Amino acid sequence: MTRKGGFQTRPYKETRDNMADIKAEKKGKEHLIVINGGLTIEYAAELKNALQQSLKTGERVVLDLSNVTEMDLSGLQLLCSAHKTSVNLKKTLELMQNTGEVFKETVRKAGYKRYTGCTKETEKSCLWIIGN
Amino acid sequence: MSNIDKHKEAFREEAYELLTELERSLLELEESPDNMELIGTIFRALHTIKGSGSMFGFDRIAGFTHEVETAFDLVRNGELTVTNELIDLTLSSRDHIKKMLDLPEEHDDLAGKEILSSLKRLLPGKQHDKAAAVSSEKTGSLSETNSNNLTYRIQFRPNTDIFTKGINPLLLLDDLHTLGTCKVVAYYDSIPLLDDIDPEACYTYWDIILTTDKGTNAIKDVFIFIEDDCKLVIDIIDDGEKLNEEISNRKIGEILIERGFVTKEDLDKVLSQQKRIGQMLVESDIVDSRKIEAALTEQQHIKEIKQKDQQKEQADTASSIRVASDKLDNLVNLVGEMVTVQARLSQLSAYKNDPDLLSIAEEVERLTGELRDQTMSIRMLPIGTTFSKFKRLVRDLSKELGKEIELSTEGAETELDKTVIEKLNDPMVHLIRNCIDHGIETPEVRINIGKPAQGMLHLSAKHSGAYVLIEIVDDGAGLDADVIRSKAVEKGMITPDAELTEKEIYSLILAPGFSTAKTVTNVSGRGVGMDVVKRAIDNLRGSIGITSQKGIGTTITLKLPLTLAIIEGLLVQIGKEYFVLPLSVVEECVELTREDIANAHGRHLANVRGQIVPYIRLREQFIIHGELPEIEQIVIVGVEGHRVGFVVDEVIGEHQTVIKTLGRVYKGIEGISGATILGDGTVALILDIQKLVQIAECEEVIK
Repeated sequence: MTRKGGFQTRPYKETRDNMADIKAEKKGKEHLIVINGGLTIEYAAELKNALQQSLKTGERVVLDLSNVTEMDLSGLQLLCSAHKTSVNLKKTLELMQNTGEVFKETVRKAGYKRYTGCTKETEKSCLWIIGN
Repeated sequence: MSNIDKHKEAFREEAYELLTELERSLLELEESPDNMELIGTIFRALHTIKGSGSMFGFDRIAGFTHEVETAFDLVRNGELTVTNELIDLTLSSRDHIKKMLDLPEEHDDLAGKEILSSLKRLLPGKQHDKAAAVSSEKTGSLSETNSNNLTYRIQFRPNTDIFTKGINPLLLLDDLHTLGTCKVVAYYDSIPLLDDIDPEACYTYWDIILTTDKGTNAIKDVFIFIEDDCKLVIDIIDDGEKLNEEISNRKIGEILIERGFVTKEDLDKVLSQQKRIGQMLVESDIVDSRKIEAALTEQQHIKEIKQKDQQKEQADTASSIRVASDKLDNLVNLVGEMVTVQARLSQLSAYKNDPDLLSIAEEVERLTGELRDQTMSIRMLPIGTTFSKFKRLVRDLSKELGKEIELSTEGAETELDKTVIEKLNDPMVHLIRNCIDHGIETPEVRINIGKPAQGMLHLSAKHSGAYVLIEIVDDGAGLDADVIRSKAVEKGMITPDAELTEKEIYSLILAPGFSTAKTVTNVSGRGVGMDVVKRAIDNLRGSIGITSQKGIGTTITLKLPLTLAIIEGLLVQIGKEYFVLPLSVVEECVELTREDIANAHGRHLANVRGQIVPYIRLREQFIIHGELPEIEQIVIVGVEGHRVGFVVDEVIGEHQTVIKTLGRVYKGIEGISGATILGDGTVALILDIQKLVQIAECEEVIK
């Protein structure tokens, strides 16, 4: 996937036979979202819905990204957006400690790493702070 | 020497080095003609020779080199492809330049003109005239941009709909990473909340700090397909040189102002509150913390690049220093004297038994030992330079003889004493010539007998104790023991019924006048070769081993001492005389009683743990009179795979032996290879073990 010019090798929105597996488990107010497979633009809408639902009903949402095999910018954006939303709603959104190599690599590649949160509220919980 | 002469001398030394590098690079280029790095190296070498040549008045060299450089400028620009012909011509040009350096007075311009005209024929069309005219200016500017790393700030903001166009911005960032050192800072402040987000839109934008030597166009190329779908600003923020001072001291605030995130007034206002600038700016809500972070990243990036440059510069200046070799030889001599004097001091202090003196003597001993080792290590050179010389030899020879040979080397970093390396050159050349001429077959023959058409020649060097082993391995025809044997009989060197081991037969080829080649080529076959090699290696206190398998190949192993100046010796005494045996060949010492001698019935044989070892009575050899001690000592040494004993009165012990050559008068004496001075000032002779064994063998044969 390192074609000159940055074109993706496959057409945008391919058939969904290899769906990203997004599962939400509920334990009272706590939601665990486990994502297996690709966290890419094809499944962005799906992820958005899952996050939206969990943040609506749950108090604390934990994401398990350890089995993500592919990730792109849309995934990062959604996670960031979800986090901002959670702060707004005074809820918690966290990543499981073991985030997996794909996630770390994508964050590094996209230059998403940072040292402090973007607002005072996100100071501690920002997903992109190094070491988090 | 006047100042100018000194500079000229310095230029010549440098030029010789460059020529060696040029040769090596050319030979490598032959194997990989597309290697731009090598082409660059070649070009730079030529450029430097030309430049400094004209600076120091070597105008002929400069003029000639200029033409060759022109050709390689075209190669570098992709206008001329690397062909074998070009490499051949450049190699001969290199030789011509060397000739001009060797004999600056002699004018052999004809040869030079010939090379140049052939070279010009290779150049595309009329271009060479034009190219020659502009090359000097062009190279000036080119080499500048090439060596210069520029640091860019790229502000990249894609339109929100780029995902729908099938563009993945992360891949663009990857491409940037391939251009040079790169730091990426993403801004995600415009990412909306979940309720408002379009999951298939791009909200992220970036600041990228990139240090590269590829130029602005290379960066623009990365973004070429989405030019219309993004906002792209590329600024040079550091050009490596001019902005040096200014940049490395740049404050974060200045960077922010330059980027248009803050105004000077804002900055001044905040500055007056005297807090950390980044913190203050955030608190004052003028910029958000992300922008400060980006600026910090930029500051850090430039600092890192600067540091790297500095380290490189330091490494360049501190890595080596040029010293005339005779100064080094003097130093080694002095250290040798020092070791001798130290031995005297140790002996004296042991005799006086004064504790104060003893401690000083011990300290001096330690320091001298270190000084000796350091000095020796300065003289050590990697054998790689010699190896690379052979590359050329193999190439030229195989071409001349119509053979295809690949030379591989191993252990080029193995270090040997400078004098050993120098004296090793001729014998090695001879051995390699032999391998190519007699050993490796022509491609047709090779294919017929099922070998790959390309012959293999392998040079390797490795340490083995106080010795270095150099192997020359070929996969050629191998030695034919029968042919060697019949030839030796024919020459009267051995009797027809002599029983010889394979090893002994092979060693016959080292005898003077021996050649099995049916025809004499101008490469080898005159039978003067191998004995010269043998003598040269003997002079280096080394030995030659030959193993061979007919039809499969030959391996010649040279065993050489690390250094010639100081050896570890075993000091022995006979009567009142002292002798030194090289410790490296000594295997053990055993006693020889009167009883043992009586048991041997007048033959010089000793029974060592059931094994019969012949011995040589040094007392008889050197005709030393006097009383025999009750129990004598046999020092058993290993010579060419045999164990031979030397009978002495007493073994004194290990001795650091600084080798002094005997004067001219004593040059012809056999069995002695040098002398050393002992702690009390007496002279001890160093025994030439191999020679002594040979002499004894001859005497035995005569009897």
